[in-house]
Amino acid sequence: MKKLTSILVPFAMFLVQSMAAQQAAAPVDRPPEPNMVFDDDGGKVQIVPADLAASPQKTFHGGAVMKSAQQVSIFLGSGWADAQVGSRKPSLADVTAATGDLPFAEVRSRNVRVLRAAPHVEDFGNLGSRPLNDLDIQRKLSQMLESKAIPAPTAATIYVVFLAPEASSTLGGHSAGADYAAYHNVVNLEAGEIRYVVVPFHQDAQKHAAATARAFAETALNPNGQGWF
Amino acid sequence: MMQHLRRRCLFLVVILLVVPSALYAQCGVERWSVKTGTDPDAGKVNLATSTNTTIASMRAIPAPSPIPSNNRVAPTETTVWVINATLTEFKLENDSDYHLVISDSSGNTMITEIPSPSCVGSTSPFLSAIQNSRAKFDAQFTATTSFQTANIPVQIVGVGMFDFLHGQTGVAPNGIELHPVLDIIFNPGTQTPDFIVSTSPSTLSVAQGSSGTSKISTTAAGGFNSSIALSVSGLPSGVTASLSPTSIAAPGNGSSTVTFNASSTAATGTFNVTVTASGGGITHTATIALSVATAGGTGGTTTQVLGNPGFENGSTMPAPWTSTAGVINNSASEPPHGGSWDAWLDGYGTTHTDTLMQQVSIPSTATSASLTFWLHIDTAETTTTTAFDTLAVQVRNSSGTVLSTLKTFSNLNKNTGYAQQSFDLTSFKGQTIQINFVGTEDSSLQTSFVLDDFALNVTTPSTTDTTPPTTSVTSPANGATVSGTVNVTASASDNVGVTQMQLLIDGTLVASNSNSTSLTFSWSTDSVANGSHTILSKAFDAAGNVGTSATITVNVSNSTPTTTELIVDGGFENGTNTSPWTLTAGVINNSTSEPAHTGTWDAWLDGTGTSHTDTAMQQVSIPAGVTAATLSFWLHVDTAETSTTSAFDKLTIQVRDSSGKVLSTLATFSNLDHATGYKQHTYDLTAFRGQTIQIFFSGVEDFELQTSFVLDDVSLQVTQ
Repeated sequence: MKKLTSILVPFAMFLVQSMAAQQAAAPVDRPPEPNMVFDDDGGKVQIVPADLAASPQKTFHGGAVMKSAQQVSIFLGSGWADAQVGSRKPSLADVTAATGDLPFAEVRSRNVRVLRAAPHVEDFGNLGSRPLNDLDIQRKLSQMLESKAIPAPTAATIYVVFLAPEASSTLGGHSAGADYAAYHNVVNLEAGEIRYVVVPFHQDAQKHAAATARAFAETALNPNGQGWF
Repeated sequence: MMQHLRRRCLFLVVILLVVPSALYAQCGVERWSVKTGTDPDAGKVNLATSTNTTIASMRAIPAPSPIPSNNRVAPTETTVWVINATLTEFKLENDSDYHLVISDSSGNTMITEIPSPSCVGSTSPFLSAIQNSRAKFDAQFTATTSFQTANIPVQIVGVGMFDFLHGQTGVAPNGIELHPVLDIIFNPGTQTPDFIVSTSPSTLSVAQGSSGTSKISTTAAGGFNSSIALSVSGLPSGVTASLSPTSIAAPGNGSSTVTFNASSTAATGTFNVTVTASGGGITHTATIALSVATAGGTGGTTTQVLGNPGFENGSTMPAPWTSTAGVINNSASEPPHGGSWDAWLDGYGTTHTDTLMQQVSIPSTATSASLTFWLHIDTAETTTTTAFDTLAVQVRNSSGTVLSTLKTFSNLNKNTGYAQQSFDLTSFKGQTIQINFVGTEDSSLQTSFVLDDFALNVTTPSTTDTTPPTTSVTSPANGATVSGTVNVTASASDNVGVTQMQLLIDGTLVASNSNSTSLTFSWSTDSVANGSHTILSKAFDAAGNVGTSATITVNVSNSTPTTTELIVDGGFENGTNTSPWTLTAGVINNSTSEPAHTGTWDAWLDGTGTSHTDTAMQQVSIPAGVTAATLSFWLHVDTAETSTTSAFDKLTIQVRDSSGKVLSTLATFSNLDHATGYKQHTYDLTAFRGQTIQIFFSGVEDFELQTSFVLDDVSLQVTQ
């Protein structure tokens, strides 16, 4: 009779796969604000939608806006070692120069000074096969700060994490490509308040840069979720 | 029996269904040590007393600034609080926390969180209480990754914790939470009084011939009011334990110190010692992982070397265990000692053999190796003298040859609940062995051997890597003259492994990587002054040793770039002598109505309040050899338009060829861009090098309400 177990195991596996497929389409909680989602530990995060659709008119919510913003790029994953993929790095590493003035006009109009990008950092280690969620990113940033692989943050620092093509990104049950092209978040670590942008790889180089520029600008205007959005 | 087996199968299906999300379960990052009790101040939390409070009172506590990432803010974060409230909604977060929102009668909310025990370090004094509260919550609700409404009265016992404000659902304005929750009582008015017991530290090392202590704390909840008797069991041979005091007085809040004395011949290894607390008809247990080392050997490192020790990877991924079919189990018929899964050998009531095996290597340097596991045996056999069904615990070599049978259990060893078993495997150091279990059942009357929560703790002497990595800059060569963009390359090696490399130019970090023995940086020497510059590399290992290369000195020699201004009279200071500008009438301006950015004159386009177009254009040739071409100008916009959404009047900036064909529209401004004073705008025109182009400004105004576009200090600088 105990052997019923072995009969039902394959059946259960089938159900697992079916459920996994259903889970992929299952609704995920979202806060009411446009282009906001819940992250992996319950906070709100502003995303750049996957289709890069324009944001509604921004309004001010009474919180902090950065006084100045400096891009510190981190290229994560072995895919960046590929010459063709890696050729994007120079333009991505200084997105303010690469995309021109337009994405940052609003940033400057709010009296945020956009500083010259800092030298970028590379970590071509294997990211593994599991999707990277926001907790993975926070843990990686924490490790890199502890090991001094990345410079300590200043008041202007925005770490921009560029994921290699092989890395898939998730955020509170949402998926890169389907739900967002980039997002920004903040985490408080030993080194202080860490503002960061996560940019999954995009096959279209222009959209890749555009998503980066927009997330970077939105970080400057809305670093803690209560600024302009 | 049939019913049990059906239930068993049903539970298997249910658990398998949640495996995909469980596979990706993770722990949090931000203030995680404080949230789970592994921070340096966790011992300051007074678990022996609790303080009744309200949500409103907690929300009124000023939030600290800054909030320390790895320490506690006393007294709020060193106090165990008790709150009676309504649990309104809950959710399983991706950091494995149960996020519970509680509310009072005025609608004030705050967050309380129950971490996953698997995310709580073994040194946390909260671990056993967290396990308890998590189990109680699971018995009432099934948390999922979407919020569910509860609206049920609860009494929550937990430690205060200020979280950072991230827009969390239900967060208090000051970020105060009860995190972790140590106990939760649903419908508290109708609940049986209860208490929680915890140990700190919950892992302890003592050497033979010495002693160590741990603190046992109990906290009453739900109206519990009784003394609590304490006892210790599961001690290894040669170790005694004494409690002071041996009981906690009513109402059940207090602490006791347990002292372990290890004799000079005490058994070595790591043993899970059970602390039992009983009072008011209730019994709870907590464990202390007690490591006994050889005299002078506590400085070693103890590592648990078994994989998947609690079988929590489920039946689909039992590795590194191998077993016969149906052994990995999560049915309620044979519940696990911890977690959700166990290994259930036999239980068929027919002639049958189940096996379970995992192969491990014990280092030759091991000073102790201790195998422990929890075993439950139940049987339908009625004999008190004959071992009909047996479980052999064996050590085999990697070929499967039995090296030792550690013990054979049988139906005669049946017990209620689980009992921990312990075996010393130190004699197998330096060998790859198989921990093997053979459960053999005869033709009738089932006996089930249920195993769970294994540990093979191996202690090895501490070794310290004091050898730093070596590293060198391999390119460019020392003394080389470089220009333009040059690859700077360094390599490194280490006796253990390089964990990080860095490249520094003139003492500034320019590149780094992880877990690599080479590092290349593309250095644009144009960004530094001509002359001597230094390059060095650093390499790090896991022990914190740092190797630094010899310093390489290179001579940067770049031709000095020259910058040339191509726009003539960019400030319009030639006044009405406007050449080479081409302007519509009235554009050149020196009135005080629209003052210049600098000087006296500017170009004032539009401002008529009627349908009107003004233009300003200058033609320039950008040499083919330039490395950069940058257009900039200062623009002031004022308007009588009142709309904040519609661009009625516009200024377009274009690049045209010498025939007037539009090559690029650089920007469009409108009445919506009106502002006090001037703003500078900059555009990269490097793409137009080698071409003769027109810089073209066109201001178009609609039929009413003026907008003035005022230009000044137009510049097009090229660098060669």
